[in-house]
Amino acid sequence: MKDRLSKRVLFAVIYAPLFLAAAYFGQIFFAVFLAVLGALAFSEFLSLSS
Amino acid sequence: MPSVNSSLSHLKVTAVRKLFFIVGFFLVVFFLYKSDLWGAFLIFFLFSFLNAVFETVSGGVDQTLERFAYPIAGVILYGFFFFSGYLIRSRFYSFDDPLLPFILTAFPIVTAWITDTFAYFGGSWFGKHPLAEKLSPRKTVAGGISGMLGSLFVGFLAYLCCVDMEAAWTLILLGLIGGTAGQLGDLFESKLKREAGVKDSSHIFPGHGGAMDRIDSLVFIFPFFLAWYAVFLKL
Repeated sequence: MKDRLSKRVLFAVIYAPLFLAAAYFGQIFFAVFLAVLGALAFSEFLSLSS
Repeated sequence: MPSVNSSLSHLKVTAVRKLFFIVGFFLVVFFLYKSDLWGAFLIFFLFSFLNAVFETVSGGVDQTLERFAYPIAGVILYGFFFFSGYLIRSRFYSFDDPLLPFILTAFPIVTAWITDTFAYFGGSWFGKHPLAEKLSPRKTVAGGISGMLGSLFVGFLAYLCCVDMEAAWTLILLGLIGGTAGQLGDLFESKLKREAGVKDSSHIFPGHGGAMDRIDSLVFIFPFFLAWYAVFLKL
């Protein structure tokens, strides 16, 4: 549990600034960032049925 | 991983389909780079339609409608997420305040994070009564209320950043409603995963599960914020 929490915190420290930086640096960076997240989520959504 | 429905078990991402997704991905990004939103829309829906048709014809002859509908449902969920997020970032440009598009984009993202964080700690410290025991046993009413307080706080910060804008006070309300929408998105995704019998959608992000888990709130929040900005703030 504690290990999972520390991993969450460590990941959030990397993920959160990256997300905000993509939003800050312009719409095309943000579009690529969202597209990668969306594509990963879509493939996970498809795999939920298998 | 237990099967939800054995007739849908062929919905696997094969190498050919990965290539198909990658081509679609780059074409959509290319059209957005050229500022051709309609082109990006058309390519996105063309590839999504072809993907659903491929799913339908490549399986057996039973449950054809389900095989067609399942990928379309995914496209609606994550297509809305992608295009509404992109539109929030690209549409609201201001020559007077170059930071405004960033603030308006960061607002829904930070609302989702702060709501989650407040709900987590509020639930850990004060949580007694379960919020939706069957869907997500660890979520509590106190966690839900804490999450809403957190989103109200973010709404107030957004109001302070945009205090000169017309009807800026609605941002406080938007924070509160957005936080609630985020928690609904969280519960919705929990229901999908519970039916599939999994806790995390994948293990791609250490300690966080999959991409679905990361963006579950934003899938509901982005379209809602885009509509609110357009209707109430006249942006």
